[in-house]
Amino acid sequence: MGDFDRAISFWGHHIIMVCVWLTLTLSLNLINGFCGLFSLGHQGFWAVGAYAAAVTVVHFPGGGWPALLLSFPVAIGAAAFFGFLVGLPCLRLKGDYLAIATLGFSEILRNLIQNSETLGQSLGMSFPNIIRLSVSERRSFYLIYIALALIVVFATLLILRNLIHSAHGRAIQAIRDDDRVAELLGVNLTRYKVLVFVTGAAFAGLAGALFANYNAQVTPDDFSFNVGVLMVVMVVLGGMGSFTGTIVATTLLYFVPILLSLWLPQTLVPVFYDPTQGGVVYRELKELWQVLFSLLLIGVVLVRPRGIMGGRELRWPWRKAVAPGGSHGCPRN
Amino acid sequence: MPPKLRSEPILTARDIGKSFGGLTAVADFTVELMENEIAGLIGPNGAGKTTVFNLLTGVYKPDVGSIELRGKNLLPLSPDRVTASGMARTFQNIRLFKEMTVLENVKVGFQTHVKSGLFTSVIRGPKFRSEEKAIDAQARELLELFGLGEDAENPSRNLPYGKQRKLEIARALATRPRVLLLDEPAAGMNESESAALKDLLLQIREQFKLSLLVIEHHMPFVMGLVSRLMVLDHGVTIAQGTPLEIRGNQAVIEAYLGKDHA
Amino acid sequence: MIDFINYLLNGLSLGCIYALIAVGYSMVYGIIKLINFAHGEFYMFGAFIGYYVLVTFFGGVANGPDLSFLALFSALVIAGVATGFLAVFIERVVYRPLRSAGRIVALLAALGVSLLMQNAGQQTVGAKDRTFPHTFTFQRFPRSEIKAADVCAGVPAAGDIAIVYKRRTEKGMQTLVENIAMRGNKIDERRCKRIADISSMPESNAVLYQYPAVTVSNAQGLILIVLIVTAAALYGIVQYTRFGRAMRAVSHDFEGAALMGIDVDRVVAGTFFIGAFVAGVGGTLAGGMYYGQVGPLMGLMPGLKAFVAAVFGGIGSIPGALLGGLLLGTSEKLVEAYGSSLYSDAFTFAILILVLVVRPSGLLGRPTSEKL
Repeated sequence: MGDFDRAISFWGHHIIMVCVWLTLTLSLNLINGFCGLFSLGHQGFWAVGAYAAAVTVVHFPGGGWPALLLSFPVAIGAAAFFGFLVGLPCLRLKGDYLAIATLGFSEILRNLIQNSETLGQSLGMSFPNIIRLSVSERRSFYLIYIALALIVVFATLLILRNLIHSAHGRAIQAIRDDDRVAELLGVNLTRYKVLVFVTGAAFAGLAGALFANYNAQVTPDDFSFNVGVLMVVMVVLGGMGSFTGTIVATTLLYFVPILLSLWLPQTLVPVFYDPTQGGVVYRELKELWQVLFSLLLIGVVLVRPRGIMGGRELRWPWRKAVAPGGSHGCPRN
Repeated sequence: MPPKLRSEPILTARDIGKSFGGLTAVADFTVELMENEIAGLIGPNGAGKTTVFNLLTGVYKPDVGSIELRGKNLLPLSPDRVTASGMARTFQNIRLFKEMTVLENVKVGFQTHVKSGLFTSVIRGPKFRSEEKAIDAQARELLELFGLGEDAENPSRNLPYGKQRKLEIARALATRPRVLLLDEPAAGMNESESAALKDLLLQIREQFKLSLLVIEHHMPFVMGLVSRLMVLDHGVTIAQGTPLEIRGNQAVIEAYLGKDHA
Repeated sequence: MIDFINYLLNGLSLGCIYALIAVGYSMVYGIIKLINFAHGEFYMFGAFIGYYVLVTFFGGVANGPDLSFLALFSALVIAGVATGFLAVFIERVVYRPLRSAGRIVALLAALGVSLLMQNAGQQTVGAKDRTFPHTFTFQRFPRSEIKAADVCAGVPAAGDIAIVYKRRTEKGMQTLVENIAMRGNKIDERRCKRIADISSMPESNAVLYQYPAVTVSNAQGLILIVLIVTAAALYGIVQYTRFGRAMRAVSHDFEGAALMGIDVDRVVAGTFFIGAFVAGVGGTLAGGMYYGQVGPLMGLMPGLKAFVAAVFGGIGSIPGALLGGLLLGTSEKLVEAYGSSLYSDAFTFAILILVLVVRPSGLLGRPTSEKL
């Protein structure tokens, strides 16, 4: 395998994965940032989409391209359905309570998935990678998936942006700013909150379909609580209610750990003194990236709680960052 | 010259009562608001005036009584349906959408009249675009009317106090109500500001064929504006009549100033 | 029925652990309306402090001889105090600056701290679980002494039978409990020989015991005692001390209490300390008495479940947290026993959602109303 191929595999993989994450965080931003509903369970919708896609690919008679194509709408539909199931009971919940309720739903989903034999229990599902089979060249495989991933992200961004810059988008943001008043101005809270959950979940499902097909494997651990926390962190650090901020934050937070683990030297540093481990405990700097990462997170939350962009949005075409066309800042629930 | 009053009341609330865990907030409240009428609701703090507004707009459900707007029963309706039926309100503590611009605040008011569905909004179809243009134009018109035209793109939280109050009214007007409930619209305003507001309210009453129900503490403001006053004390209507009648009413004076002062 | 009671008792112990963790959640939430997601990690931290105290100062070794009650007591106290100080530190550095930044941001910071502690734990103490040194031998009660002769007659055992004896190893004198037979088993020659062998070992002081159907272990008893003492202490503090009054004032009305001259910062720090102290003690107890081992990720699930317990009992209410913990632990074990052990986690979270949707104030909390 030549150097070029190795580079394509490495960067291609990460470009595709960051697109998956972007789809997730952009859709989460709709729920958390623009509508002010604090959801900690987005990873559950991602899981539903991914597993639905996996099941379709595995069980669709004949497999191949039709299965792959079908897996996308199936994933989106399944995730959207669960978005509805979760959104409905959560209508009257606010702030912390909503956060933990959504977390609860997501954990229930994960528990059910983990116990289901059809879904492969703890080992998850592994299946032949359809595109990989049809396209023998590594280069082409990655290029196809990169293209697909970019299309997914752009479609997500476009649709969500159009939704926000419409009367419905204004209604959604009004709910974030003051839902009682929004209701008294004619905004149907139930309809919009459910809409936001369903839409957000649908795009998470889309991300799931992309992930499942590309990875050709899904396991319950891919969708853990810590993953969900990371998603929320990306949205908040990007500035809730700013798509640009979400994109910047997601990309940064995705690549920083990878670059850290690449570039940090293998130097050993003493981290601990423990007689039970034979004295001083050394770790390679490389291994410590997770600790550094969490420290970084806390640091950013402390220093710039309104997010990297300060809640502002970049306008298209790219003029200077403008102060809000309806955005940002953390809702004070 | 006040416009002629029709014989049918536009808003009828009969014997409304509401208690919160043993504490009676409002009891036996009745009002018949005529078309194009401006009525006032006054009373000492804590008398239950804002609660009445909350009851009328569907935020609370009354324990007893009935509410009808142009013959339509409002009781089973949620607040957004009440607004769609033609009744809007403003708030005692200004409650603007702080993260939005002035223009966007008003645009939200048009929600009940939005016809574009989700799909056409997302794909930016022709119906969506023409509706957005219309909303934009109408919103700017309303802002002009209230002297807020230049502030359209500013964040609403940067407006001075008086303008914020006007924005709230403009936003409520965007819902195209027949009845507008105003909760202390002149609070915090000086003489000239409240006089200007009074003229503005009379003007929009004409222009938009509104009926207004105003809660206010500021007596001079109320006196020159309303044709009828209701006085609330501890949830009970203790007096009703023209401003002149109320001014001399013993019970009212006692309610405000205490029994010794009467 | 017998089985039910045994499951119930087991669940009660787990419930006590959850209760000890849940108390901290409730106290902190009651005072600054923050869900301290890192609280589960406080429990883990306490468990490790307890472990290291035993290992470093008392020479505790995995599967070694029993240490003393003094050792256990020291471990509990030091674990509590250390965890308390850690919590105060974190509050000062991370949570206090964010007090005015909104609940969501504070929640995120808490999640960040939780992640940090998990990662730091894995990098320092290593990801492998450690066996907790014994401080005393687990024994079950009630029990009655029987003679070997009564037993080896080939009759089925009327109750569980075990032999308790001492043995000298290179690590010191150990007390061991070996099960001879379960209720209903026939005692055969092999087992009788075992009894004889053990009894004849030097310095064994072997005693044969028979147990009724329902027994409680001394470890379970200890956990319960600690819970009761904790509950009483908390009650005393909250009701009868100046600090307790200040706590109640601040949880009722944060700004108002400050205006009354209460040093709110100190009250918050104190609340964190107490809550973390109890969680740290809970961690050491859990590591020593319930699970038998400690690991850097041990706080995740119990933390989440204790949180559910706190919400169930009424978040912000200390008796609620205690009650919620007990009920949740007990029902979790019962569901595992009678339903499916696989789905007990889903069951716990289903309870959470049910509570949030039907009665968010929980069992003992006060419903809050919104003023328009």
